[in-house]
Amino acid sequence: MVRTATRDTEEFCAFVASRSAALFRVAYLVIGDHQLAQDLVQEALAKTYVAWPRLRDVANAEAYTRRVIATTAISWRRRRGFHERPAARLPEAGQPDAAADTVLHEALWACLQGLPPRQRTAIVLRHYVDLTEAETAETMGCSVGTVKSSVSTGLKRLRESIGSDLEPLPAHDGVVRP
Amino acid sequence: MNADLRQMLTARAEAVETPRLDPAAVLAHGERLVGQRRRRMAYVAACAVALVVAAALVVVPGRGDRVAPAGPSDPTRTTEPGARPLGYVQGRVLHLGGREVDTGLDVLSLDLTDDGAALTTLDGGIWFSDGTGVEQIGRVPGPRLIEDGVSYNSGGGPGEWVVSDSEGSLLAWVEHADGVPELVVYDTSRRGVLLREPVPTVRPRDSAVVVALAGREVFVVRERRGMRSETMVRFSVDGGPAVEVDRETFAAAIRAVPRALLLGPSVRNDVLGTSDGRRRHGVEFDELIEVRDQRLQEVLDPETGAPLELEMPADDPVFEVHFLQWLDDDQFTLWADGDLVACQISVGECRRVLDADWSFFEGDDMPLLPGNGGFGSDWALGRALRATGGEG
Repeated sequence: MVRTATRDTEEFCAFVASRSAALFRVAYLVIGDHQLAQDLVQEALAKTYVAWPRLRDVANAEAYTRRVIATTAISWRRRRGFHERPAARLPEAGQPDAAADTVLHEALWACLQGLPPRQRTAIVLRHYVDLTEAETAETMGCSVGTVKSSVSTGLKRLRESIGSDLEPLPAHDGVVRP
Repeated sequence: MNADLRQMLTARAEAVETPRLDPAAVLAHGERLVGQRRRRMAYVAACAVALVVAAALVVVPGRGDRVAPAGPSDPTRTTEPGARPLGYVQGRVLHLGGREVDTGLDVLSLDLTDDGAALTTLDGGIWFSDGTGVEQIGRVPGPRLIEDGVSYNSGGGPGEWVVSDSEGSLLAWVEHADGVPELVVYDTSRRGVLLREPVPTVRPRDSAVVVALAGREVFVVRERRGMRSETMVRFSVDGGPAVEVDRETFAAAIRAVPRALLLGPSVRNDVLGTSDGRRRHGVEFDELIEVRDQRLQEVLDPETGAPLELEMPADDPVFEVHFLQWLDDDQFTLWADGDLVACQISVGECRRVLDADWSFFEGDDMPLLPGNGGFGSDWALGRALRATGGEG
């Protein structure tokens, strides 16, 4: 028993060492603040440690931790006084071409931080982590239809905010409603 | 330019300095959580007690602090005349006022009458529980499972399969016998069907969905198969032929319901929505309530159109607020960032009655609260799909 617990601890520490940086980046994109992201990933890893005995391999552990990051980030909004931030101060347009991408990226980042947490989380999981819609739904603990609508609504708000021609997603959301 | 978004996210992630986490600190925190996990059952039980106490506090004006905490086995706390018990589902257990029932069901949605709770399941089953047991009272065509999700049939999502009024004992839904939609009105106080009436349709296989129960009237939207055209008909639960009605008639009937509120989005969109958040006249109604400076915005008296002055608890700012259920003519409950908040119109105040750190629950433990697409409904659907092998 003791040997099993020790082995679990060793494996968990190895998992932390190998994956915490990648998980931190996801947390940072989801919550948009360095210190909060650090707290978030630490909290998520601690919860993963609790679940560790029933996680079969590292891939499961990473997916589990991402799920905790996603759900915890959403719930932290109130508890940490984490307000939605208006994306009013966008970088000025009309920069030289060389800086155009940077300007656009800054604008996108600012607008992303203004999105509600569920939309922001869904966009990060889909467009950064490259999860499928089904995987994103599993990570966020919601239906595929909710993921599709969250991403679609979030991108629409980004387009409206920066006046960009971000490509619209396919209209089909897999859920037929009257 | 979705590529720009992807590039921006990648660039941001690569540019941020990653901290060096202390595994020992993570382990120590994890060990603390292990201890908390062992206490979870006690916490859940405390939630049940809190709900019972909350109900006792909010449905009995003036009783206030003199009320002693009630155990979950005391149902009398929530059965005051004209009052409706608070209800939620956790796992397969229905918590209704002070009672707990192991339904054995993967419940998709929860709706309430004065007598108990109506539940829906993935196979289209409609069930009722008064807090002592559960019985099936109807069935609608369940959703079709498709590769990447669920395709709901004409009745919409589970929360739209069955409709209750904001007071009283009636439930209504549309069954489809041989492809012909048939309105069913069920009286939960008598435990029997009060009305079963075919919905007149234009063409075979046209569909129908109940959108509102208002007093003794039931409003049904008929949908032309493959078309967006919709018409509304009104039934009386006392019998008689269905009558086609226009939107103004429907609006007037909804405004006349004693327990009704007009919420902001419905006002802005010029679409009548009432406080239970259901779709009205084929238009998706958002039950989200806007909060500014801790005051509910655009919650209007349906008769006068005047804004109601309702102040949220000052102790902690809230961001997302949804309507949950009426408790009596003067009080209703809200979901506010996971907490349960009770508002009293006559006093103009709302107070937090259950401070629930929902983030502590994992998905399978997430409570399902009342209402159309209510809090926890996504997790409930995921549970049900996994149980049938339809997902995950």
